[in-house]
Amino acid sequence: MSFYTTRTHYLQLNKQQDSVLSLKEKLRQTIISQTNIQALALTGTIAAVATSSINYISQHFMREALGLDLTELGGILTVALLASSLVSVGGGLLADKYGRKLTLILGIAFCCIGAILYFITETVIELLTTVLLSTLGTSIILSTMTAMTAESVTDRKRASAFGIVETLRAVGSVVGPMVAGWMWIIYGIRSPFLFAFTMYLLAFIGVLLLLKETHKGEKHIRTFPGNYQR
Amino acid sequence: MLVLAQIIISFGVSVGGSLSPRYSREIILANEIELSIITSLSTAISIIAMIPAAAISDRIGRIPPLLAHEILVVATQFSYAIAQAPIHLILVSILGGIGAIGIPGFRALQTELMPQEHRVKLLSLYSFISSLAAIPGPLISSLIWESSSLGPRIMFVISGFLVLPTAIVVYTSVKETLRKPHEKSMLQPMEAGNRK
Repeated sequence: MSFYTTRTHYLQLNKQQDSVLSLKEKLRQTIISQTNIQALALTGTIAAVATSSINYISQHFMREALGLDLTELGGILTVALLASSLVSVGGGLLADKYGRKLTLILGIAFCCIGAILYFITETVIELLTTVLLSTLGTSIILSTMTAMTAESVTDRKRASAFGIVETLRAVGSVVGPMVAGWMWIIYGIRSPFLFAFTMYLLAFIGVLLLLKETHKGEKHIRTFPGNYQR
Repeated sequence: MLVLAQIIISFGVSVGGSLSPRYSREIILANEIELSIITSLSTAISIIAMIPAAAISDRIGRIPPLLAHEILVVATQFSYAIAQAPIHLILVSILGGIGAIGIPGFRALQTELMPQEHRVKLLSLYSFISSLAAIPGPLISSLIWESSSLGPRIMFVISGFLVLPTAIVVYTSVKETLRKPHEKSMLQPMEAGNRK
């Protein structure tokens, strides 16, 4: 009888210990999840400020600084948009295979290089390369951030997380053109690209330091709360 | 089904939306200030509407706000067609901004329907398909504008009728992905990792 009492007591203790551990793990996951959403919102907003300022100024830049007519401008934008959307599927493959964080860093790095190239570009070929790099980086950033937002939270908070991230991104998209326009008037038409580069660099550092990986690639175990398959 | 819905929406919205600034300027005779109000008001309203809409989407499910979004998109297109003065376009722009209530729920639904191993690849493919679907829109709306005897207003009516089937498609065929509160919580890492 005493053996059974001890065993039951032991099992109860084990159970309590397990529940404390599971509670601790849950708490850890919640904190990581909240930090990740905050980091995604912050870096996403900074990246949106940069992207919107480039989008706003680039068409004026192409017409005024490089002297392109409307047909050339439309052609360059369409080719770049289509090519980058197609190549971004490759970026998606990378994110699924080698992890989200690495691909996001790659996407922001493309945008950084794109912003610097915009600043120094003089010919149409250089411009085409620049627009390609920038749009490719932007598409990688968008799709990777969407996946990371979904994976950082549980389904009961997923839409709210998207609400916060998308709202802040929209705010960033409003702020970007305002700053770019102001810089254009004060420092000249190429200066907003330097501003965009600085913003991308900040987003790069933010992702590097604050963001936790949500999916490490095909061969790794998933531990995030949102990593659930229906 | 969601991909099909997205193709129809992208195409429909690009038919109506691509020439809407020109329509506002030349047909409705809006001045520069009214044009900038029309453009910025929609973004401002969407910024205000998105967070509460997201919370609602987490409570009642992804499909109802998404359906409301589709209906508002259709209403926006039809309202453009019947607008007579710049003030009407300002009201339409408010309606368009409220239409953003479906975006967080749509993003959540989109990611929940995609398997995690292929999520980013599928999201990229999805945006590529949307971009492709939006390409013929401006061309078609220009052709309608130039050739139709009914005038440019018909462009928005066509756009509305293109988007309308999407609401029906989404409502009838996409499964609700948000689980009910009594169902097991997902905040169990090991379980979440092991579940297939």
